Amino acid sequence: MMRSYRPYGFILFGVWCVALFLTPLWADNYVIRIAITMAMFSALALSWNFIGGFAGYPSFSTAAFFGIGCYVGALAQRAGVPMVVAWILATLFVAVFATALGAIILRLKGHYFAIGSIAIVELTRLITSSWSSLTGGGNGLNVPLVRGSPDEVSAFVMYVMTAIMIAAFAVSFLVDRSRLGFGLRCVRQNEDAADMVGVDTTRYKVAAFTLSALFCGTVGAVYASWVGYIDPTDSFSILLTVKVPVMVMLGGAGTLLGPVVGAVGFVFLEEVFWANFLEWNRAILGVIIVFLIFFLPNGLLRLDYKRILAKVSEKRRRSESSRGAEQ
Amino acid sequence: MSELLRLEGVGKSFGGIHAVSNVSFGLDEGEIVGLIGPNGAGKTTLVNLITGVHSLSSGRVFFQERDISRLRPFQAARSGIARTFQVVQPFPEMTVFENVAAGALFGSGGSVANATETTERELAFVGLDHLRDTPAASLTLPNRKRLELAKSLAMKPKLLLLDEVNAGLNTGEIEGAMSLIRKIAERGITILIIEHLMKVLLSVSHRVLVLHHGELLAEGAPDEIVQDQRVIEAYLGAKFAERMAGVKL
Repeated sequence: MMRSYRPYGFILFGVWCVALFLTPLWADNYVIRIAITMAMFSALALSWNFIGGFAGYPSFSTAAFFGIGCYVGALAQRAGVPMVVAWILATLFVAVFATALGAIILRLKGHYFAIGSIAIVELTRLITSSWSSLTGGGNGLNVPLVRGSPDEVSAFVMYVMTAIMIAAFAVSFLVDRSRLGFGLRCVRQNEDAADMVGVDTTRYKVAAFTLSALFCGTVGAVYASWVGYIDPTDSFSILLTVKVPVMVMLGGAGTLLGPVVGAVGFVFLEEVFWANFLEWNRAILGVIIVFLIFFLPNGLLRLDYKRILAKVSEKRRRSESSRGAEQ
Repeated sequence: MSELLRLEGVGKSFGGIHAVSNVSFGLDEGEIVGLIGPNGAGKTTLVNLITGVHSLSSGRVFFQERDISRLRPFQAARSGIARTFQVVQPFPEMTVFENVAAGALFGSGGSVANATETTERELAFVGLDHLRDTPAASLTLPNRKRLELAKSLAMKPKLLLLDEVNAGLNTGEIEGAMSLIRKIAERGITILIIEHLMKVLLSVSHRVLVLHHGELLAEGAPDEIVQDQRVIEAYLGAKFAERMAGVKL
């Protein structure tokens, strides 16, 4: 019930945050851009972990929350709201949206929930692209630029995205230790039994869903300010909605650091493949996903490394002794 | 003795099928009441109706004079009704301790310190304290059943609904389970127990309810029930009645 933690993970995370904060001091724009992407996807993956990891509900709504965040932030700024206030507005709007939506679609379970949550992405995308008078439709929207030189802007975005990632991590940590986190783990492992011991499963799931949306809204709004132009296909991208759960599963769903490890690893691999195999990078990503499902169903952080090491050394000893016997 | 639970004309239909119809009975505080009936008689459905898993099609349920007909399962649990399932329902990846703590923390309310204390006590009570850090998934079946009981008890229930706690256990294990159930009753917890092993059920119950085709067929003391002609025809069979007539209950 009361979780105990080993310190290594937190130290590693601290070092990683410091490293991210320091990138603008030495790196060129390409590296900073990758660092921003890593921080951004870490925040999205940490968010997804609330519903997909803790509660065990495979949500594919990330892009809907991200996209709505983009648009609310952009529209608010265009209406003259100061940038930071627009980000907060986007966050709150997405949270309210997710609470209302969660109360409806969390009645679905398993595959049905997954399909329902994908439908939300398509639905919000279609509404956004059809509502031209408000959103500019397929033409997209220009977002007021962040003031400063390109270097200053990317450093600023770097700091903001890292701060969001840290906030998402902090909330994950608090939830993991709380009654809410314990209740969500009960829901993931056996929802009927959770109900029977007195967990208000609906309220807990809605809470997890709202938490999973909250930071996506902020990230979306900040992203809009960063890139300066948004359109429906970019903001409500199905690829984004699939990538984020894959990142979490790569790292380890339901763990604290798994989402960060997964997001960083995935963005790194994506960048390597993108740079070296321009035509094949999507196919290679696909292969990685298949590999993950088959060989790492619980993610990198859930592997029993001690057992693997023991096995490897056992094998080595055996092959050595058999070689010895041959001689 | 005051009445703890009362069912008034309770019914449930799934589509056109009447799983339970017009069932009325009461449970007094501290009683152990057996619920028997052939497969498909509606015993588990009845438990599901009391705990709010299914909504009532008709009738009402009162618990401590309060109408609980519309409560959802978690609310019923918090108001003092615990149940075990026919097929055990642990949280498989959690330890034995965490499983029981879930009952203590969510079912009975109160602080974490309180929950920890309750958990320790109930683990010792069912005799699982030496396995507290074992994952629930790796327990043997008898121990899983004990875990279910500990989890339910940690919720500090006033009423415990036991749905075939002995299914899958051998004779020796059943002995252990039954003595545990008697100990639970001694704590003043009212028990409604569903059981197919008549000898076990008759020896432990103060009163027996017989359900047949979703209706309450008979109700009475164990020795009356085994001689009831309707019960013999519907469930026990003539041979069993003959055999039981010679056994002193």
